[in-house]
Amino acid sequence: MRKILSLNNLLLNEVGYIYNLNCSEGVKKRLLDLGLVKDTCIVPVLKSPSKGIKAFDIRGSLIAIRDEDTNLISVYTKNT
Amino acid sequence: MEITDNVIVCVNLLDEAKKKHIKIDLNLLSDMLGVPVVGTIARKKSSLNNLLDVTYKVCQKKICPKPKKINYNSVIEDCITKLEIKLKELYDFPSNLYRWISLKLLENETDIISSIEKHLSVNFSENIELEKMLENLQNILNSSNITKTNFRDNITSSIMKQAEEVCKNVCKFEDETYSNRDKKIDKILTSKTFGIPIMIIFLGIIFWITIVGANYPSQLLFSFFGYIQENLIDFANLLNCPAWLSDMLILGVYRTLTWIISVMLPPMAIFFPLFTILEDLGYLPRIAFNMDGFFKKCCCSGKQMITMCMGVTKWESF
Repeated sequence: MRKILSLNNLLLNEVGYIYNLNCSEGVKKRLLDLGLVKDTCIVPVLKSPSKGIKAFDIRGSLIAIRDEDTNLISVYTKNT
Repeated sequence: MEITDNVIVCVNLLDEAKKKHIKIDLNLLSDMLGVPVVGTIARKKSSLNNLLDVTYKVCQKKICPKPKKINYNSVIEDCITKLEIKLKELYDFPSNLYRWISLKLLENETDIISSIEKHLSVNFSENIELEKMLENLQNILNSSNITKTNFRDNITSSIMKQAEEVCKNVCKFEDETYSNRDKKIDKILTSKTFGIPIMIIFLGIIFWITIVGANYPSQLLFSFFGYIQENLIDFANLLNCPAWLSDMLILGVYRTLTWIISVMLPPMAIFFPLFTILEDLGYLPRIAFNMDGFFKKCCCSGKQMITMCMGVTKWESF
């Protein structure tokens, strides 16, 4: 069973896989270069105390992305 | 690597990798990429000599790198080969450029194409044969669900897949606990309750050291420059220098300059090394992460926090 949701709604430490990037061209290019291609495993690990930004574990590196961008990234989860 | 064969890969920060117990098989990497790979630790001169050595050898054609090509989706790969053959008929480029140009033409990246046209002094859009072929190929791509918008995604994911494959084979993580320790520290540094207080304490300590510590060398410099100033005035009198000139040069230019040096230099000399230590610890990105929400409200990014810290020391030194 696959469930598609926006990356922003993924809970902390919940494993998601990139489904689609709906961002503007510039942002999209940057995200692709950072390795957010389809089916990449992505896990939110940290939340900023000042809100509005979260850090994600992608291929072993820690990358912080703002909510306005994560809203536009859709991910799917694999339910077991 | 798609443009030229003359590629050397340099793997830097091997000392950090060792610290984190990551083993990198450079020989295997070299085999998989088809180009020479040199491992360096930029802080050590001797490891850089090795890099220079290989660079010379490649320049003198003693080593001939043969980069492995990236395999894209089979439909794209088909189109590239067709276009490549056409380009070979029509133009005379360096042999390793055909594939890359075909890819860029298919991708329709106008910026790159126009600069290719400029540098190789050709004009692709004038060639009707090529134009027709491109249109044809684009239709083929469209029919197998590769549109202009997802062409790039497709390409990047192929590259990424290949890179992941290489990485899996070449890197060996020997110590899983290390990253776990990092994660725990991160959790505390960016937690809701401790994150900001820890940051204030850290920066507070640094500012305190800077302000208090800078006073002593400041005073020392001040009296040193003052002593020279006295002597300069005496010297000017000895030369019978007119008062307007000596006043302008000594009390004007000299005194202002030394004043600024003695006030500004010590705090800078203390603050920046301390800041570098924080940066080395990797704490600065965490500060930026913590503060981003507040900075966003005035349309800045959290990174500005770092610049702001530097600004504060300059301002406080007055």
